[in-house]
Amino acid sequence: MSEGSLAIVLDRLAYEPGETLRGSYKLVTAELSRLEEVEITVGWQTEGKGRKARGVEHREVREAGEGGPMDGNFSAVLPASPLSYDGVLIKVRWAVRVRASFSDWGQLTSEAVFQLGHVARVVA
Amino acid sequence: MPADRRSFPEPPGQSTVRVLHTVEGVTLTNQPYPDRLTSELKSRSPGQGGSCLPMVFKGFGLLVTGFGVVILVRGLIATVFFGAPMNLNGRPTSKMEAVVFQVGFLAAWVAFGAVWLFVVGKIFPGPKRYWRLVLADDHWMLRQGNSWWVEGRVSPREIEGLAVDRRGRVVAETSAGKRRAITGPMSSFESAWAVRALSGRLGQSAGAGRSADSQIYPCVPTVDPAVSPGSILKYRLSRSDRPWPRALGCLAATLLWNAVTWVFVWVRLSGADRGWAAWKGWLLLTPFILIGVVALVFLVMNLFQAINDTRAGGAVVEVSMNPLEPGRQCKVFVSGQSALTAMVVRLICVEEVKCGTGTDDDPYSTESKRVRTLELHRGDGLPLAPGLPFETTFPFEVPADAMHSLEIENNKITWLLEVEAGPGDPPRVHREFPIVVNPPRSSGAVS
Repeated sequence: MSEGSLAIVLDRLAYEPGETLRGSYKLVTAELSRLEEVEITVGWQTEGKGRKARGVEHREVREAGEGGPMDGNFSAVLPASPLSYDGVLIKVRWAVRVRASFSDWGQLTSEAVFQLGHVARVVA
Repeated sequence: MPADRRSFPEPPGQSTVRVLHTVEGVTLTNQPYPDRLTSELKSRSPGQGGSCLPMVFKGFGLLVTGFGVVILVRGLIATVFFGAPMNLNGRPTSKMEAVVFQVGFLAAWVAFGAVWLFVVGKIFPGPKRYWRLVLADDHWMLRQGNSWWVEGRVSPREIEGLAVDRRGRVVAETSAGKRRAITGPMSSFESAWAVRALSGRLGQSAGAGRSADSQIYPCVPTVDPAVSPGSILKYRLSRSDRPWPRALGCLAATLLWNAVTWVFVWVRLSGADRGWAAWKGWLLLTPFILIGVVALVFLVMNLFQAINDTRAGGAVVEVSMNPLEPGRQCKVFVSGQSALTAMVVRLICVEEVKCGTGTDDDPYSTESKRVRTLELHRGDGLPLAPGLPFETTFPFEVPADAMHSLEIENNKITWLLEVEAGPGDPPRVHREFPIVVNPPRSSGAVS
């Protein structure tokens, strides 16, 4: 596993469908010369009792040669569905994931969870 | 083909369907990474888990069924054409008796093998199949994965309309009156999008049915195109529970099981064995007889429910809005026979998940749970005048903070309007009417 840190900051923790999510990431590592690319994805995944499913709403890859991707901003327009949900058997969780890949040195990943919509939590 | 790239719309977000622009023309496929198609097909979908159980069970079923059929057919030929004698429990039988016994046994054997393979197929569903639809100028071709084998071909000129079948496949209705599947199964929001996109390519209006003029939300099922107009309110809902098909399925399974079991019981009864040999036979048969008795009990319960349902007569549920939207008021009209003396209408949210990885230790299973129940109406069910059907109309709304209907791989959230009517506990009539709940209206819907 690579040593270093990768932090994500979002402008909010809850969004409405159709709104634009904005955020930034900061990569701190001594191995910047080995950095190949930084991948940013905004997507959801299910958790709970059932088999997992996932979907990606926004994905962008910034390669090392494009002006130092050790930090940067990103934005994505959020869809109308699926909304974040905390049910009994099913949970839908939205998150921004940033992954920094290094040549021969593994990768650093970080995740920031946010809420899409305002569906009430289901109590079993 | 830049013209194609401009003219064909992109699938909605969260869709597994992709639009490719190949030398053959625009291609629709559900393969997430088309470049890997060949290697993934060769390895038979590595994501599905590495269980050998399905193959063992299927192979066992085929082997036993095939072996039995060969022996029984050989015996039948010997009896019919060569007059081979047959002994049943130590006594010789007539030719007619031997033929009837062997034909009956053969039919039961084949039916038993078919049920075995059907059950194994249900417990261990096969890996997800990939498909691709090539939209050439003069023909549309459906292929499996990147195979060159054409599963279906239709000329765009002979397509009169597009529809969605019960498996979520887009079906082309041709001028010759034929229906041909042109895609593989998809989620309903994907198939609704595909019908619109393909209809646009044909220069037709966007398909038929209710889903054609409603918004498409990613991962949210679309309204069943079969929803018919109502007489009092705008839409009449169709029920999802079907007691008679379930009772008839139960009847078929019970008859088959008991027919096979009682052949052996009859052979045992007419046998000449005494003492320990006879006891061994009965000991072996006892579990099969008990299963047959349990199946009979289930059959009686299902028949009783179906007869009650028929006696209760038709129940009509109509709504003023379909799909529903959280926080927006809607009206519902319920009508039923005057014989019903109590009626409860509920709005229910059901979560359903598929569990397990399909491996030997963790086989596939399905679990569902009612997570939210809202009682919308409780009344005496009495009609306004004797002899008239009971009717009532009342407003209701899905709570503003409720989850929308959801349809994604292995996970499903369904909303139902449930009607229960008495007399008695449990109530004599129980009917479920599925209804779609959209997310709150926003700018995120696919136009």
